[in-house]
Order: sequence, then structure tokens, then C-alpha cells
Amino acid sequence: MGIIAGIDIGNATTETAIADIKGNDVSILSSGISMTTGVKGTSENVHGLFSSLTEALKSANIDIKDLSEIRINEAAPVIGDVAMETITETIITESTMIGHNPETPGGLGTGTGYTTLISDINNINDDKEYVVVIPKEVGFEEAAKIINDNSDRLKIQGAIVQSDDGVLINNRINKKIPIVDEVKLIDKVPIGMYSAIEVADVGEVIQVLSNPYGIATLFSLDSEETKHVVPIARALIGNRSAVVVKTPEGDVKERSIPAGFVQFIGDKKTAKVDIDRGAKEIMDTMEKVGKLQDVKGESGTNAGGMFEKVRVVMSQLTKAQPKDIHVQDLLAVDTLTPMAVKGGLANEFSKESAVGVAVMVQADKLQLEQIANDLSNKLNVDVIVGGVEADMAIRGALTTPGTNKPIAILDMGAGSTDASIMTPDGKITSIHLAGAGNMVSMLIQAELGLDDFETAELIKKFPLCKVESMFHVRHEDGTVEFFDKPLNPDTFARVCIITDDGLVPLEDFNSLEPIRQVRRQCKEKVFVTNAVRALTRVSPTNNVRDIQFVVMVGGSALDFEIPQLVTDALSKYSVVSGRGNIRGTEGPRNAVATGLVLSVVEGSV
Amino acid sequence: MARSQVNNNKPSIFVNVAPGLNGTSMFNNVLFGIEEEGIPYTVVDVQDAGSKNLSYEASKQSNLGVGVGIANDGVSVHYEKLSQDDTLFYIDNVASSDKVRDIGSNAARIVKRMPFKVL
Repeated sequence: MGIIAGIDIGNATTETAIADIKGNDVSILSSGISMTTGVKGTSENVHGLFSSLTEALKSANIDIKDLSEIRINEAAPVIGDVAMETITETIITESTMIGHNPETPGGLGTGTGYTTLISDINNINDDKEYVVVIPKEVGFEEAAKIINDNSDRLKIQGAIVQSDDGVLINNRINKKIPIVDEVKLIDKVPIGMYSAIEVADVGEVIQVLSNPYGIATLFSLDSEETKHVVPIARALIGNRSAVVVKTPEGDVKERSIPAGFVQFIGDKKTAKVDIDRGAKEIMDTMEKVGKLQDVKGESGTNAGGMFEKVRVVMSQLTKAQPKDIHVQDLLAVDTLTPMAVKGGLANEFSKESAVGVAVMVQADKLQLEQIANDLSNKLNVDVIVGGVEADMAIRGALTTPGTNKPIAILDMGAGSTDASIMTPDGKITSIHLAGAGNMVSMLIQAELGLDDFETAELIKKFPLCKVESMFHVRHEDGTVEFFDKPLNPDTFARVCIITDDGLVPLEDFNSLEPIRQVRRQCKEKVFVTNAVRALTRVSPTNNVRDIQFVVMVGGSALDFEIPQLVTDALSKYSVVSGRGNIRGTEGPRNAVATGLVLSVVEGSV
Repeated sequence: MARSQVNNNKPSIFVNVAPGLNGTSMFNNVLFGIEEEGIPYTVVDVQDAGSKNLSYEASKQSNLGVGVGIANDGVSVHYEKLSQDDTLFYIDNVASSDKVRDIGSNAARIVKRMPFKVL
């Protein structure tokens, strides 16, 4: 037969296996891996395919002329995408608030009074209570002097400061008042309005302004008005300092977007569910309609917008009409995402409920024959498209030491989670589900409020540590690691991601525990849910318990904790599961490519 | 705003200042930065040996291990656990007053184990 290359084009990576085949003897020479270029199944794939092949050829020291055949797998014609929509919104209507955590506020306690600019204070002459507003043009020494000069004459109850001057002012005034500093948008603070200000002691959080009845007491609100301040109190929970300003009604307008419903069209029936019922009800409704034919969102709502976006993206990728894009599977996940509070003055955030969805779209037909032709012309080697992805993956997975038929595999990639099962008589059933590595990154990005997807990817892929001194870090498990050389000052006292290229500091996080928790929860929400869902569907009895052995393959099986999370969850169903080790050397990678070259001699299963 | 006297027993950041610079706005802004972070400091008038050397000497005297050097070339911050050549922060004598205050904050933040401000 000669030297054969098997190439698997996945959503994220293109993997190659090169084998020397003599009679029925297959000896695998090398493997290659490179990023998939373009969307899987399109002609842009050729570049990634070529570099993956080149890498494998190079490591086996083989010239491209010596190749007698290339086999590309018949990729499953499914493509995944992810989207997210918030379903709650915090809007401040009758009051304005500043609730944030300046690192060093000044003073202590609660104060109320009418807001007034510090430059106007000399003109005031009454016995009302006042809160002074100090823009950055007024230095702390001048501000302190003005407050001191007037403190006997006027009732100054607190200060709102633009610069980071809270402690400096506090140290220079005779009568102590609570001071909130670092209020960037100070010119948006309404002047002449009644306001309340609170600063908690070091290590404590505010108690009065984070309590609706506390706000009601300070502003003498009736029961109806108290209802309106609940979102304010909620948004201020956990802050060390806060300001609430009561402004005349209508100052900040309310805008609400209905989340809308999702309609599942199945082969048995059609069902609707409101997005704001949450992920569980969405998933339950989907299960009820039988085999999913398509999903639609109510037009003019968040739900409609979300599915429309997916349809448009998918149609651009597959060059099909948006109306011809049919959603074959959907995974909905509840999540919380920090959103800027409308009506806030210092970029306050509030955790809002959101639903993230991953969808699986049936692409009409992948252009694999086209890819094969292109490659064949370019390399002058026979290129054959053949072998169903799931069959090849199982063949490859069976090269993991310690496995045997019957076997189920969970192929956890970037775009989809696939499962297939091979019975003792060789019958293979397989399924493709929406939701995999990319969805985990999207959820991490949303829950942590990260600016970019890349950081979310890094958090997903690598463990964290906290830099505790110039010379040591503390890892997630509490162990301490010392370094000979001082660490980069950028990382000092920060939570860092331990990447292959060194420590990457994260801003805005004081402790690593919440990040770790979010990371693990996002992985569980996607991969544990999908593992159970996928295995239930491929199990001959529709019960996960009747599957004995599960091998995890695919890029996400390389993750440092996803396989453990899945193994742990599946052990509750008495299933033996673990990360695959293709050919005893490749780990969970290269299953399909290996299966392709093995299939040359084994014939069809 | 009482400036503490030289007293080795009290935990404080040592600020070594070269002749003629005590009381200048550069000097004041460094101290304001430290003060806003709430860490005590001790000012010592010394001969000008360059801000880096002054900060190194100051860090050895400070029982918090943090020294600031203010000299005609600018302001340096040193941490005692670092070798003499590894000055942690340095800004020159034309840096903006905000930067000077931030370098003071950073000196205090070594003690507080808080992320540094970007200089």
C-alpha cells in the first residue's frame, strides 16, 4: 500500500496521522496538528490541512512525493455557534447612585444632605445638611481647608470626590465625615438634591444603603417608593462605600426589552417556552418535541434577535440562505453576567441573569470533494474522502490501551460534543450535540465580565495563582511556589493565569477563588450536561447506566480538569470513563486521523 | 499630617531625601501618595547619592523593607529583598505630579500587598 496520511478537519484543529502500510501491517510514523483555517468543511480548510500534513511529514522525515494516498474524513455536516442574551436589566429611575469600591475611601459612617459644589459653599447660609461635591480641579488641601473653615457654620455631612484623595482629605479635616472618592463622572452628580453617603470600615461592607429599608429610613420613603429602590440596594450590596442621590422623577428613563419566547419545532410537535423561564425549562421543552427540526425565536425580542444572529452568521459561513439554516440541537445554560447599571455614575455593575445558548446547525453539504480536488491538484497525490467521522473516532479510540468493544466515545471539541457507541457486533450509533469548548469560553467571559474572548480562553485552559510577594505565588490548592528571580511587578499582588508563556496578570480580581469557581461551573454546565445528554441518546436503552466504558477524546479532553469533572459525574451512573490515549502516545488527540489510516487495512467495521 | 521623626522601632517606609528637596512639590507628592494609602513613613535628610542609591539605603533601614529615594535625578523605590541593582520603580525629575504621587502609592502598596499603579 505504501505511506498513507489520514487527515481530520475539526472545528478548531486539523490533525494528521501518517502510517506505513505493508500488507495488513500498519506502523504509524508520525502525527501533525495545526489550527483549522476557515469554517470546517469549506475550501479555506486547505491551508490548515496543508500545514498539519507538512508538520507530520517533517517529523517522520518523509517527502511529500513518497505519499501514496491521503484520506480525509467525511466530516459530520454540522457547525456550532454560541450566543447570549441578558434577560434582566437594572435601571435606576428615581434616584441616582454611586456605589463602588475605591481602594481608599475616607472617613467612616453615614451622612445625608443636599449636594452642593465645594466652590459654592461660601455662598450658603442656612442650617440644612449638605454633602459637598469636590471635582478634581480642587486639590485636597484646598478642599480640606474649605470644609474646615465652614464646619462650624454649616452642617457638612459627607463628601463626594473625583480624585483619589479620600484619605488625604480625611486626614486634614477636624470633624470626620464619610468621603467617597474616585468618582470619575462627578459632573453627572445632580446638585441641590438630597443624598445619602456611606463608608464602611476597613474589611467591612456598607449596611444602610444596601438595605431597602435603610434607604427608606434616610429618605423617608413610603412603602410604594421603597419598592422602587430595591434594585439600588441590590446593586450596592458588597460595596465598601456608596452614595445615593434622590432626583426628581423622570431623570433617568426606564427601558425594558422583553426577553421573548423560543419555539421548538420537532418531528412530533411544536412547543414554546419563555426565555426567562431559564435553561432547565428550555431544555425540558426541547426534549418534549421529539427529534428537533428547527428552533425559532419570537421576532422583535431578545430571543428572536439571538436566533436571527445565529442564522445570519451560519448562512454567511455555509453560503446558504438564512431561511435554509435549521437548528438541529440547542444547549441552553443559565448564567449571571455583570452589566453596567443604567443611572449609575461610577461605572457600577450589577449581576444580571442571562441565558447562553449553543446551537448546532445542519450544513447542507460540506465541500469536502472540492477540498480533496484542490489538495490533489496541489500535491499530486490521490486524495480520498471517506470514512464517517464517528466510525473513525471509535477506531482511533480503540487504540487506547485498556479499551475494548463495546465502547462509547465522547468527542469533546471546540464547537460540538459528539458521542458514538459501538456494540460488540460492531454496530455504531452516533450523535452531535451543540455546546463545547467555545461555549465554556463564552460563559467564562460573560460571568467574569471580561473584555476579550482571548482572556476567557486562557482562564479556561490554565490554572490560576495569586502572586503574594516579589518571590512567591500561591497556587489554587494553597501550595506555595518560590522563585529565584523577582517576579514581574505587573503581577504583584494580582491573580495570574499560569500560561505556557509565563504569568498573565488579571485586573479587577482580588482573589482567585471566584474565578476558579466560575471556570469549573462553566465547564460543568457545558460538558457534564452534554456528556449525560449525549450518552443517554446513544445508549441502546436510553439510559447512561447501560454504557460501561467511555473514552473521552477531542481537544477539550486535553483540558486539565474537564475529564475529571466528567469522570466524576459519570461515576454516579457506574460508568467507567477517562481520557483517551490514542495509540498509547497521543493522548486524546488524533483519534479520527488514526482511525482513517487504520481503516485502510481493516475495511469497514 | 505630622511627619514622624527618625525612629527605627516604628514600622514605616523610609524616605531618604537629598539636600534642598525636602518640602518641594515632588517631595510632597511622594508623601501624599504614601499617606493616601495609609502607611506611616519616616523622612531622613541625607547627602545626594542618586535616587536609586538613596532608595536602596532607605529600604535597608526601614523595618517594612521599603525605601524611597528622592534626589535631583528623580524618585526611586526599592524593596529590601531585591538586589541593589534591581530598583523596583524609578521616575525622572520631570515626571508629572500625578506620577510622583503614584510612585508614592506604589511604595505603600508593596507593604499592603496590593497591585501597583501603572507609572
